[in-house]
Amino acid sequence: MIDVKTTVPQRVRKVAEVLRLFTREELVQLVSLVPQIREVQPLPEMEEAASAAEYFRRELLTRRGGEPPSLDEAFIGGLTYGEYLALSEEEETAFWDRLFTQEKMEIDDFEEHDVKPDARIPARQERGP
Amino acid sequence: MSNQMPVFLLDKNVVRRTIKGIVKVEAGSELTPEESDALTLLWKVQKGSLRAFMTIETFNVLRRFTGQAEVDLFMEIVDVMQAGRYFKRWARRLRRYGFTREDAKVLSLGTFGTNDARDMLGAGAIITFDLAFINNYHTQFNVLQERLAAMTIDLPVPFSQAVLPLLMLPSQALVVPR
Repeated sequence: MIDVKTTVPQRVRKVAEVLRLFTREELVQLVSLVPQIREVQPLPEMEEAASAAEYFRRELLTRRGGEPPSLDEAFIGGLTYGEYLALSEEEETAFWDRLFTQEKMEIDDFEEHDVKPDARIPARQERGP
Repeated sequence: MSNQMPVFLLDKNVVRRTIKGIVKVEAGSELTPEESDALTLLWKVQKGSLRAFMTIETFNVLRRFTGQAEVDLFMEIVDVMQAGRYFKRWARRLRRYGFTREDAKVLSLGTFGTNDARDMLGAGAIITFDLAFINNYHTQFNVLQERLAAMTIDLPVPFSQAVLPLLMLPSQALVVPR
């Protein structure tokens, strides 16, 4: 089932609200005026995105015992869910950059490991895509 | 898990957008196209269609928030890529081609990274939203390929077979054939 609120743009949802008020005859008239409605199929990527959103929504809800988080509940980095969701793109970038700066590693800080001689290696690429 | 499954290394911005996407679906908010692509990619990994890794630095950031349901879920699905032998040497060489320290590290992991079982070397692709990084990499791809071949020719197996990863957007990764 499509998670309408998270995957369908607002303008489409608004048109849908109007269409729900239509009579059967009016819907038939609409289809005759816009025959593409009859022909169109959901795009595979839209179906996948909707399935992904629904899976994670249900999974998190199950883990929380059926109760979604309150926006006042603590999330990460000293922010509540509400504060985190309200961050602008720039603020969110800065928030994560601060966290990553605290865990930054120099190249020489990495511990190197041996790899099995028969390790799986990706196919060689001739050039970038 | 299939040995032929595409292996992706997620950069930090893909990880943060994925987590934002998880939080938004919980809250019933509308996702941006980037968040939706990142979340769909994670879903495919969860389903077993793909395999995804994060860097050690990303793991170190996220483990500070273990116990947080969204972070726990992400960390259950995505593995950590460790540095294999010669990671440092290749990362330092990449710096000479104008890549930032951050980009050089993730690119080098994409070639010389490995998993806990030490039975894989490198990722098929690094997934990023950074178009400047992608463009710089593609511009220099052939030169880097030659440089890597020169460096690895005398190395022991499997390092002598190391290859450059692809660099792509999550939306491109979603259509990679299995």
